[in-house]
Amino acid sequence: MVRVSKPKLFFYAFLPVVAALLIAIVIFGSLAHNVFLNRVGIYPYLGERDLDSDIADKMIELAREYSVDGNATCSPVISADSSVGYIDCKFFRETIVFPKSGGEKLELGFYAGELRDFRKVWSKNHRSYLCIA
Amino acid sequence: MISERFGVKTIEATFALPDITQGVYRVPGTGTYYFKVTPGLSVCLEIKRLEKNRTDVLVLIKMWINGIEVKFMKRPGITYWIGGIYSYDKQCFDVVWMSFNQLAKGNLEWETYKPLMDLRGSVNVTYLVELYVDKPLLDKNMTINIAIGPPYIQIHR
Repeated sequence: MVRVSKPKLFFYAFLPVVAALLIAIVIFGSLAHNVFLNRVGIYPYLGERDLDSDIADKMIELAREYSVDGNATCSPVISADSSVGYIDCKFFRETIVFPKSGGEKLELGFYAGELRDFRKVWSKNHRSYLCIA
Repeated sequence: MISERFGVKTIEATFALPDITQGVYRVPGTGTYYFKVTPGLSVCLEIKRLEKNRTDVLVLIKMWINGIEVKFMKRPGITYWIGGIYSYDKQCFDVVWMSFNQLAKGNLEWETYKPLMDLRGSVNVTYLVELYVDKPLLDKNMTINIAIGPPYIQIHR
């Protein structure tokens, strides 16, 4: 006859219960986390997806082509595997020659470059822009 | 189309978007988020100098969606900084798209991002782009070519 002492009985009887409770807590916590995750902020939906930058990459490539020789073919819609881009095919290009006088100082507030004295040298209020629509 | 806002010429684009609903997604395996419907504006800067020297150039972009400005905490707008020691550099980037694809969770609570939730139907996006240089550069021999565009909106399916 095998005799089981009280501490061992306690161990064998309650260990599975404790383990089950821990697993339940982990599963419930995970589910609750996802539920609350979907309610973050003012947004109607919050899910999890792979981020693709296909369209952004194509647009940068387009801008690079245009900046080289001023010629680029732009379609109003560009598609990729998992995203689509709606485009307003306008480009602007200008050359700024230095030395030149600086404009207003940029107030950056908290920023890594705040120690520098950045001065405005160009903005879209210059009229000598080029626009290809 | 070039329009005028507060006496300043801006880049204005109008998009007719399909029937979609804005949303926010988490990038798997990260603590960052991005908008399903995301505006973008590519910018290329080409910097040419006679001598190899320190360069500090900063692009500032302000953005309005349907007439409401998208504001940023403690910053006048979206910024992109180019710095280094070189005589020639060319960089193309989309700091607008990048700004809404690397959001910390806290950014999602910003009231000032609310205009981004109205990216549906007919959307009017206005950009003001400005270029700044560190003051010592004003006296240097240098040329900066700036190319902007095209403005666009990306929809993740």
